[in-house]
Amino acid sequence: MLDNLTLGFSVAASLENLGACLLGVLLGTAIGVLPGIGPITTISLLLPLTFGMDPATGLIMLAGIYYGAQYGGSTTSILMNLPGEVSAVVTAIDGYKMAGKGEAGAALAAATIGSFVAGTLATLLIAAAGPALAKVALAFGPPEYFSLVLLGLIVSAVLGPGSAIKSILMVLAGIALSFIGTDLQTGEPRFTFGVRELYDGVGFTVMAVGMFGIAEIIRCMERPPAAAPAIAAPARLWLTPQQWRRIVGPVLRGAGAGSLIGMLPGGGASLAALGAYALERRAGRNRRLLGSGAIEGVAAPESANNAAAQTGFIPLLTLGIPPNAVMALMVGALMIHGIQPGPRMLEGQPAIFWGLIASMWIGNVMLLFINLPMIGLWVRLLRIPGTLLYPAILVFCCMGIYSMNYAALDVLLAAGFGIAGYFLVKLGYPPAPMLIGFVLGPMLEENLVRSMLLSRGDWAIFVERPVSAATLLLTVLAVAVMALEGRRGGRPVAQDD
Amino acid sequence: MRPSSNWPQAIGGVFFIGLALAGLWLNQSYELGTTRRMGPGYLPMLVFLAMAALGAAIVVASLRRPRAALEPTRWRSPLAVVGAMAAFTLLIESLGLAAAVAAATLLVSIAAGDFRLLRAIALAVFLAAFCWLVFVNALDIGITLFPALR
Repeated sequence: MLDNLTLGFSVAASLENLGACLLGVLLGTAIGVLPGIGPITTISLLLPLTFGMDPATGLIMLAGIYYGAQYGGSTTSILMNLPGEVSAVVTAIDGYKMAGKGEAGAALAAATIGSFVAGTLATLLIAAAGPALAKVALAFGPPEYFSLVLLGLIVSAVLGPGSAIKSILMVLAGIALSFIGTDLQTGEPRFTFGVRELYDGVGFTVMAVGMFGIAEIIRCMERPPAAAPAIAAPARLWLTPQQWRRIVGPVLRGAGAGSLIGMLPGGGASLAALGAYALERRAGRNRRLLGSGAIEGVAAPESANNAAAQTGFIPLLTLGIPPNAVMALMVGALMIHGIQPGPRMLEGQPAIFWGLIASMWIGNVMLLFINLPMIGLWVRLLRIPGTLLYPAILVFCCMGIYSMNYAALDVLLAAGFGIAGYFLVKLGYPPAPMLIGFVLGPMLEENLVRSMLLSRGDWAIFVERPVSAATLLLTVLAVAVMALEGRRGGRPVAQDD
Repeated sequence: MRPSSNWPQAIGGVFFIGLALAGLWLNQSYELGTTRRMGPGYLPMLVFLAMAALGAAIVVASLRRPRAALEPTRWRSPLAVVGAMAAFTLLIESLGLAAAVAAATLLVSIAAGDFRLLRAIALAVFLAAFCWLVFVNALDIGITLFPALR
């Protein structure tokens, strides 16, 4: 492990990769602060740009955007009760009350320090667990993969926000979209309507930018323009010894819960923050104070969302199965370089794997300095009125999509996805499962076809192989638990991850 | 539909049933194959059947649930965004980057509220210059600012 980490740091410490990491975390913090544009939109827009970069460099930058956004999201939650990201919604409960008591500086410090500690622990966890999991995964055949993909698809829909049936419908819609293009098995074009541009399939970026970015701009423009709030950056950005003692437990619990939830299908940063807050309400020493401006209520979710933003890479890099929509975008980033994420990546591309992990820790150190001393600068970003912000974001979306293939029609297609995404969210259908279905659809089909060739058309192969059977059992259990607990309407449909 | 039914719910279900039926209809032209040798139409068939079934489940459930109001849609914003993107699509290759960016910026600015003409024009000029710097100058993609300068 030490050799590997040394390799990782030697990759991550190159000037080019340090620059990519800094650019990623800066952009991440900015979009984390700004409402209306989240990590999914940003990453999908920048995806085409990474084509010209070294694959490790591109991935380092995109990952930086994701965990950087977790840091940035908490700032506005605490200072103005306005979560920049969904993953910072719970932070606002106690964080904003702390700000009301004049403790904004302590809340911001607790969020940043908690994020840093949790990020460091998550980095170590990936370094320790990654190779072991990859070794196990190397023994998997098509039936195991089919079951794992099915688990990923169904559990991510069931665990995610909104109603489970609606999420599964969105997964199915994503799989259906992935059929468009040339069939991998026969080379026959499918569902292309004879349009030559569709032979390569629907563009990943076109769909993601449309469903997330464009739809979100429409939603933001609907809200009446709010007056730019005047906020002063808090004077003292540090903790008292007593506050230090109070956050140790919540940070560690948050890091643990966040790391675990980040790896689960459908997990990700938002669910991790919610889970850690719920855990703190049950197990925390000061649980009665939660909700009234307790520092624990800031430290726990902020630690958790940062840990989860990193451990999400574990299933992606070891199994090749992205657990959430942001990780699905990372698949895209690897695929443009012809790299198939999965257990073989660790042997074939160790520099990418370990370089990425080392860069996460470096990025967390950078964020510590970017956030605390420069907080006043980030808050000023919010003074940009929506009337200037929305046209700018829309123009960047159009330019980004057009510059990918010089296909003007792609811009119109993205507009179609934007309208569809806007109305689907309005009707309670979350967009993230569709992205996951779109990415996992080809894997599902390929492994199904291969399994059935192996078994000569006998479906029993999926329950005869122990790993596959156990995976399917887990899937059924997850659905059953949710059905029993269910009848509830589900959490509100969230926009990002 | 009965007055007590939940029509936004039903609309969603009907949408997915329609999508599934369209998919199944298109899927007729692809070979299903056998379970042993699955053709290009096999998984699409399963997926569209599941979609139709779940869509129907949503419609049935909507008939039982009480009526729920849908957030009102301010049509101005979806229309402006689609209009801006359509204008961009039309203009980018015929009139160049400056015209496409300016048209998109102005259309969205009008719909974003608190519209001031001078500010919107300044924003359009700024965005066109910025996009030219980033996309044409730095990334070297083949778009011209004004076609006359080509």
